[in-house]
Amino acid sequence: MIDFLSLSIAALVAAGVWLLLSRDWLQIILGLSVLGHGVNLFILKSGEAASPDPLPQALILTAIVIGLGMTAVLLALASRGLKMSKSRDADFLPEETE
Amino acid sequence: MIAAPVLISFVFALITLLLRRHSVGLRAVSLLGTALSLMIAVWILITVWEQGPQRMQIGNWPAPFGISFDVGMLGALMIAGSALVAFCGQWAMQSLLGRRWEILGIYSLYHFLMMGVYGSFATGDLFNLYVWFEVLLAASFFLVALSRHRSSATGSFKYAVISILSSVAFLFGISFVYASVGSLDLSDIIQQQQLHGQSLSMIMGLSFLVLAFLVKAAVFPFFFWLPASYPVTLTPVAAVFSGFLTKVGLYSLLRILSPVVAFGDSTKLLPVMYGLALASMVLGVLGALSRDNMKGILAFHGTSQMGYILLGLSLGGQAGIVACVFYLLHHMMVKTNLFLSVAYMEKVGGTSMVSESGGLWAARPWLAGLFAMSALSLIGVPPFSGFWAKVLTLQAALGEQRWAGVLLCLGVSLFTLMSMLKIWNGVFWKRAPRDLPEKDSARVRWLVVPLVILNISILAIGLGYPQVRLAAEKVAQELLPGKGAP
Repeated sequence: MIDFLSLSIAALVAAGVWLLLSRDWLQIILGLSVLGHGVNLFILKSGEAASPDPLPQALILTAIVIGLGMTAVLLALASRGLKMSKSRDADFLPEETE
Repeated sequence: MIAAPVLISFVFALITLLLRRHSVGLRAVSLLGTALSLMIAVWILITVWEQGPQRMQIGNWPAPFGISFDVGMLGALMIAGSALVAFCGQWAMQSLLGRRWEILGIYSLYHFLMMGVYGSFATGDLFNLYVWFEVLLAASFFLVALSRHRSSATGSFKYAVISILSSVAFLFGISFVYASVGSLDLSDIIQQQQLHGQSLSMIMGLSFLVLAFLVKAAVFPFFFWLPASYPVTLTPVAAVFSGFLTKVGLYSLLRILSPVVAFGDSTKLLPVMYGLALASMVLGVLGALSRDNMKGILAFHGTSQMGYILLGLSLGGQAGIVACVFYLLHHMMVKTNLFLSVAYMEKVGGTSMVSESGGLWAARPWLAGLFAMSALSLIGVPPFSGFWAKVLTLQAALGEQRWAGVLLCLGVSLFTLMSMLKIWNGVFWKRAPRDLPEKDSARVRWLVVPLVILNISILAIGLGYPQVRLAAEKVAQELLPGKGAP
């Protein structure tokens, strides 16, 4: 039987890493959140040894909430960065005016 | 009771958020909050010293099932050290920062940051540690972003992305560890390794956790976020960051790797860390030499000193752990003090570039004295704390016959001296490029207080060496229960 859980972890992590390699503000944030979903599934996978195990689900719930908060923080930082540097490139350094 | 610093920081974060338009009241309340945490931290340290590790079960759930708060000697020392740094940092922020930052809520963010820091030093649960990490990270992202620099946007974004990536690695590590031993309680994880050895899954988990903590500790090759973000941060904020933010990573490394050191290294993690420690010692100090911005010099130095601290741990013996803990305490005080002196120099000279400043020896001789004390301590001159920290590290390296470590330990000190001389010559002895203000405002002059407090603690660690060493040895015995005295 094909292990769909493992396959989806692999797909999510691969997609997350690919998005992270970009220089675009938004793609980096999307990549981090996709990667976060991959990890959440991985935590679920880690609890498979003991059959009825509620702990991984509690951990995932916490991780999802924290992930949501962190994505919001990143979006706030990125919107400020976009306003200041006027470029989609997250590594673009504007000339120092000070 | 050991959760008290966390609760105090949380309550004061909310109060300062409500009070942020009443300037005088806000400053008084915020300072009171850090002073209260400091008093309780000292009390915790005394209790742990006399009665041994303190445990607290949240909701009275017994140990491996519930979340426990677990403060041993290491945690108590780190809580006390960071509470002192936090008190001095709060005082420095009050004498340097304008109304604009207060209205934006910088003190509130600061107390949230402290909550995360105290939480991670106090918790005894791996997943809870992750949660406290996120608390302190979220606060620190905004503290970095609150700055006048245009590049603070890119700096804080890079810092945030790299930190969140390391949190992803942290979660992977947690899942591997959970799959291996079915528990997340730190002392339970250590016990399971002692009983059953290390499975492949445990080794994978430890590797991921080490990766995550090395990023937080800013060790080569994971340190690039540090010189990108610290120079664009407000200087007093950078001072407290360098005081305990990277130390949280090293503290977690010590906690998680103690079974590896104690029961033999089946993971081969320690040799890898030995190499990384040496590389970051050298590359950090070379980076510092190349910088013109004083904050950049100190930020790169942070990586170099982290290498020294990691070197002690990677030697894998009791002497190494003692050196590592002593160095951690010394570095907390010295680094914060150097950053705060730089903050004062910036205020007087109006710039943080070495090439553009000068003439401070004539204008503020006592500031030169205060800076020189912590610079000498960083280099490792007796009777300051840095001397003993380096002696202990050298002794440990000699004991294990790691000649490369001994050689670099001595050689890097020379380069540290060079980079400190660069600041000294450029800022103090060079002729002033423009007229410096005759006197500082009354508010800025208050900055002397934290500088003096930190200098006294540097001297105290140096002169009270036997006592501090005894504390470090207690930590080593606690972390390595299997091994006797050396």
